[in-house]
Amino acid sequence: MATISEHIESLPTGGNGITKTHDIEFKGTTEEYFGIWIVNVLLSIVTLGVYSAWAKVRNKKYFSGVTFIDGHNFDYHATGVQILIGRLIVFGFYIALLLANLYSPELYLVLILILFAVLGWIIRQALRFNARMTSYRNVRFNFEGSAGGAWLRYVLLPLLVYVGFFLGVLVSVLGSNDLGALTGQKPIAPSIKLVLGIMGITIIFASLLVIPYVSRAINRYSINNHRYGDRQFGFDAPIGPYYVGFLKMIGLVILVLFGLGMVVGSIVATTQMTSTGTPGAGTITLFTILYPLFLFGFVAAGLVYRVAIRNIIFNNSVLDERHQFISTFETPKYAFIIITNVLAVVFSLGLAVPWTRIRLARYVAENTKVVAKGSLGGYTSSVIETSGVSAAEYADIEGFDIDIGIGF
Amino acid sequence: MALHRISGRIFEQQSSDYSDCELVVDGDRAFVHSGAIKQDIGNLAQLKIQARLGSFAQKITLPDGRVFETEDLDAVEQLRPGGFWNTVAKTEKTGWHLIPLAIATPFMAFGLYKLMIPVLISMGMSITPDQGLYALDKSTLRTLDRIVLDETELTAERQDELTTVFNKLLAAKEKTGSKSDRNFKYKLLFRDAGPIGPNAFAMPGGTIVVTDDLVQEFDEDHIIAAVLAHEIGHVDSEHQLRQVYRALGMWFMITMIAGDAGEILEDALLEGSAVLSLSYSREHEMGADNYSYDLLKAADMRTDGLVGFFDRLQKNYPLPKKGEWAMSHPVADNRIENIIERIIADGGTPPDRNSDTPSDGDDGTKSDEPVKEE
Repeated sequence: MATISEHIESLPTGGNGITKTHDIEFKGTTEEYFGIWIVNVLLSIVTLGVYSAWAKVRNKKYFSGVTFIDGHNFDYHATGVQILIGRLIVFGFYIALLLANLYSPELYLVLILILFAVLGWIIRQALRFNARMTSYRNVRFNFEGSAGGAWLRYVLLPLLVYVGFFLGVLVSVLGSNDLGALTGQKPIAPSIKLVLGIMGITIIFASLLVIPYVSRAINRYSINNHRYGDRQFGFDAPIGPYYVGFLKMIGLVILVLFGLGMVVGSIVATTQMTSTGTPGAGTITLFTILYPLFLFGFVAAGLVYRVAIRNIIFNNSVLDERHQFISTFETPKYAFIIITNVLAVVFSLGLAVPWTRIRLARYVAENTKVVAKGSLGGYTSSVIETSGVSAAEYADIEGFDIDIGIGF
Repeated sequence: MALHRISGRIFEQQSSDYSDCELVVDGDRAFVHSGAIKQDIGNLAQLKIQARLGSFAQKITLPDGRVFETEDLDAVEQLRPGGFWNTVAKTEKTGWHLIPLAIATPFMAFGLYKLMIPVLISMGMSITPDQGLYALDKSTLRTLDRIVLDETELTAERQDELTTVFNKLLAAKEKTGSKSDRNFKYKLLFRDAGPIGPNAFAMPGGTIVVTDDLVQEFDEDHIIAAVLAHEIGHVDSEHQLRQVYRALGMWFMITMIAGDAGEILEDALLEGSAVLSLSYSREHEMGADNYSYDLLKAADMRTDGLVGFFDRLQKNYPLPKKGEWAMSHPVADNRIENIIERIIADGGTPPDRNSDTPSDGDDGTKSDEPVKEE
């Protein structure tokens, strides 16, 4: 892996201005943020949740406002009303779905199909809203991707991966199990079983192995369509690093499955040797201990891929064909922060939330740099109109991962 | 009015170009001084002053679209003192006053939960028409039929016998009166539920489904009657609807409030509310048991059916193979004791639990203790 200085040296030379690396300065403190957070929570409770829309704005505004590059901070411009209306629309739609599910299965199906069709538009609107509501140095970001483009990358491609994966599982189950015995039909011939098994596993592997390509397609779409002012972000990356991250993740999953599987296997085997009969309370306790370990392993595996992608995005993006970015996330450190954050929140009964957020944001800032060629000034907003409703609320509530701002 | 001079920098419209300047407010007129140039920019009321937050620079948008930025937050506050957002910003400032707020917050959250959830439940229940319940029954049954339920293999005679028992219970309910003023459409259905095993479940509109395994495992009518009365209890007490609205209300409150408090907190609370709903479910089970007892008494039927039911269930399924019995149902022992206590309180004789008819596959053990070691 190239060091930062090598990375900077490899940047194209020439053009106007000298190259300067700017650290991202994070000036937020737990002390200061705690007050903002607790007032947010308290007012949200007192107003039966209505204030939470304004709370979101204050949160985002705070974290934008304490993040500086070259002496200038970011800003977040959405209003509480925009967020509130966005949320009301989402809740209204959910209620419509609920009622349709009760009274008319046909209408329900129609609504689901409509949602499926417009999901690309919703995701595009959400990306656009988030971009337009964010500014750096008095200049707004923007997003100019098409709805069809979003639908292809965020909906269709991931769906095809899922369909492929489950098709593979289905085929290999057909091959490995005696479905014939279950359904009362003739058992399948061993040769056909073998063919089905190989086919199934091939389909599973094929659909897993296209995931890095899907990730890259999503990254290309979302970065290349972002603008700072009227200037474009550019991104492209070789597929190699995606595969490195992806295979590390798969490797970790396999390791977790095998490692814990062996522990469980050996313990169950010894229990069965010493006593016959039903599994006792001991085995149950064992599983309740092992389950979080499984979960922990999978979360860590997921983080490996996220960190890899984060680094790929930043290390291969260009703004205005001259400013570049550096991301130096390291999985062990990042995973350590995420996991200890979860523990801190749980054991403090939520009181540690401000500390965990500041800590994570500080790590993100410390591991991101901007390599500016010439001045970071001289830009002009292309977006003046900032009205509209927060389409980001649907993505937020549904947990879509569309945030590629300066954080995660 | 006093003269305010605030130093900062001014950004051109929509631009990242800026220059140092001074914002001067004299009475209700505002001026920008940069170097020797003094520019009248209009009335103080026309300035859009961004709400104060934290300690970073505050922005003021001028009528012409330029943005003035200053770190002199106190001076900005003096331009337009008071107002909701200044109060919020003052409260947010670090200080000892945050400690009582931090202590009050969990209590207020708990109070809101105690206050709001029952309100949301009764609101939801009052706006749900009977037609909605029938529709819910229909769609639930349709889904279950598609996924797990198959047509029953019970004989028509056996079905008729049990339907007669069911109707007898409903007739007794007419006499004693209902808990709810809803017009339920009670209907007894038989289904082969395969892996679900011996079970019965009620839907909010009055549809009650009994699995073949239950009828085959418990061929004594008084046991089936007790189970049916228990399910009628769930319907009449509107337990399912309550659970639906509790879950919706919890989801609404958690996503609205905790969503901004933190993702981790939100996930933890959602998990917690699922566990909590199990405890409400236990409360409901006990309530339905008592309802069953009362209804059997009103119908002049044997009241000890549930005792036999739980004893047999514990014996034949010593460890909860059927997850839901362990999770959502109180430990059977408590429920057995509850029924026995009620029988004794009414001056009856509790059933002789050792002479309970052994079911097929019984190895002859007379003990009703779950078999632990062999």
